[in-house]
Amino acid sequence: MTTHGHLPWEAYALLFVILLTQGTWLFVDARKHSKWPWFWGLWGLLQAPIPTLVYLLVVRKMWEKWRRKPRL
Amino acid sequence: MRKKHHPADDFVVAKDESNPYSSPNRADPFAASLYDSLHHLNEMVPDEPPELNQFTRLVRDTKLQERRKMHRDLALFGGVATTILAGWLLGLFMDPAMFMDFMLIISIISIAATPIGVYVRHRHRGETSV
Repeated sequence: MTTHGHLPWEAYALLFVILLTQGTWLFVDARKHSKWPWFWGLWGLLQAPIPTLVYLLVVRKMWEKWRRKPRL
Repeated sequence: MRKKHHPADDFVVAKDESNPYSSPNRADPFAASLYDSLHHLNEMVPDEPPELNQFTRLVRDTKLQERRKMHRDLALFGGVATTILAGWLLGLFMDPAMFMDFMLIISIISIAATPIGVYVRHRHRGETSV
């Protein structure tokens, strides 16, 4: 197996795919909701999975859905 | 063709039959002004309702325009993304340890900035309780 630096090339390819998918999804979804698509898209290209978690919490407000769930 | 409805038709008082657009009471300036304005407004509004095809075409054109804009934005984002990811992977390849430190710092700053962002966002909306 060929390695570059400390990581095998498969790791680079996986990182590329994960970051590109995350960034594109954030860009498209934020654009759909008119919430700073370029900011979220570019941040989504830099790291994973923090941008997605922050986006879901801040923009999509997942915590409000959890809070509103009726208690059984 | 059906005769266009005229505001004068709503007046109960008798009007001048020779002129269908004459005010029933020209002596009253307010009534005359009101009548003329209503008449002008009536002339401006078309009798026939707009065709359904017109709305369908408008919706179709708007959707097509939005789709084109979306494709253009995505193409632009793809170009920027490729450049950023190439730099990202190159940095990781050249000096992995330093790059990981850099990413760690960015992560810490992001996590620290998130509650501040949520607070500012809700303060603008008048909701301080998160």
